[in-house]
Amino acid sequence: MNNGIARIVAMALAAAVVQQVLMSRLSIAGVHPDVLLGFAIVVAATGGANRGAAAGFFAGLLTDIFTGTSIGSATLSYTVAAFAIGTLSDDTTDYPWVIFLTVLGGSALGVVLYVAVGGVLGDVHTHLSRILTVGGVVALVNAPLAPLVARVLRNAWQVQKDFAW
Amino acid sequence: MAVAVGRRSLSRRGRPRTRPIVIVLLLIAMTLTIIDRTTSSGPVDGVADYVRDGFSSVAGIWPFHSTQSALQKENARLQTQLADAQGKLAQAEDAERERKNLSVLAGLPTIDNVPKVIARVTSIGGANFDASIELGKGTDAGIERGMPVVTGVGLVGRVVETSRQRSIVLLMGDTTSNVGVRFVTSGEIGVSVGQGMTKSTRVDLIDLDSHAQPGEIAVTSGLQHSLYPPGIPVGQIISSKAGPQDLRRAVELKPAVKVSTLDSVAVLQWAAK
Repeated sequence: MNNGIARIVAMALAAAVVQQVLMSRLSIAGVHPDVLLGFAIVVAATGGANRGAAAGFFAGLLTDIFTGTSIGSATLSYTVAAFAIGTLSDDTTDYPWVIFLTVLGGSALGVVLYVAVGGVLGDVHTHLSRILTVGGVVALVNAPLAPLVARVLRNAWQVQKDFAW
Repeated sequence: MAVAVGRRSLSRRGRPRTRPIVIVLLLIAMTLTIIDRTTSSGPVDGVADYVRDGFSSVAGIWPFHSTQSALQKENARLQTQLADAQGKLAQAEDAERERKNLSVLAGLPTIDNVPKVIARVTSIGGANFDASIELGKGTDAGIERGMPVVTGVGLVGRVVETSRQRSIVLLMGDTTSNVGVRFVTSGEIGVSVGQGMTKSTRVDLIDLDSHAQPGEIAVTSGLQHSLYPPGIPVGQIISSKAGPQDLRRAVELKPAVKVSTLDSVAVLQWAAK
């Protein structure tokens, strides 16, 4: 298997394990962090829209499976959020502070889209204060981790540079 | 955000290939959504169960799987004993009222002889927008969707998702949770509606001239087609108000079970009729 793809898959699995083992048991202001969403946003910011959409799809699918809700809300919303971030991102995301802000905004966008899609599908019934709390906590946990994850991912993209989407 | 020339050139070359991929992914997501919602125990559920069990097995061997120290466990055990005693007291009060109206309630099922599955709580509030908990047992232990979940002190919720080794319980505090209740002293019947995991529940359909007062215990009503058997303590009235313009009395319940201290629960192997 291409070494770059293997690294990316390994990182994705690591994010999933961290989410299920650690983050589901961690509670900040009554909110569980969502590193799967953060990982998808970093993939999008460093690897572009296609990679971001794929990462968002699998991150959302795993989130729906882990939380026991019906498939759909996270799968659709994370795919769209990561694709949007990937489309808007450019080479300036090489800077740590830019990737920090990108993941901050992208994570919040993912949460808002999740509420919107979940509301349409009938999975989510909540209020504004809860949305703000969840969006804030998820974004503030993902953003500081983003520069480190982005550096590892860029190395993986470099190794995988001959892979054609 | 400005797009650099280099990336724009690359995007221009790649743009015709960008849209089909995300469209394909969105179509797959929508297909999975439709399949999952229109089938029960279909292929999507089966695969999801295996994935969930697989990652949960990893969680089970991880050092973090038990986050309680010995002291915390002892505290939880003592709280469970106290909760059992409080629950029995609430049930005794209700039993006294039941004895006075035996001819009306004869023939309805009770929880006394319902088989139970004891399960450990492995996660509290796993989904950020659901009031839910995860249990460490599933269909392999005899747990099915719809089964009520209780502790010694009262109602926790009901099982909404199961896999072979895990179950998801929707708490009665969830905003989509409705529980038929009956006040022990006054005998009046209403519906408890969740307002959030850590908040009081609202009781609807209480008449303006109701005698429901703060301090009164509410138990599950167990009326026909109810999702729960009768007599399970639900909570205690903390507020009962009626304004001049109100059509109904506004009653608030403090749930009997404190979710944050849950360690083990009992799943009643009971099905609604």
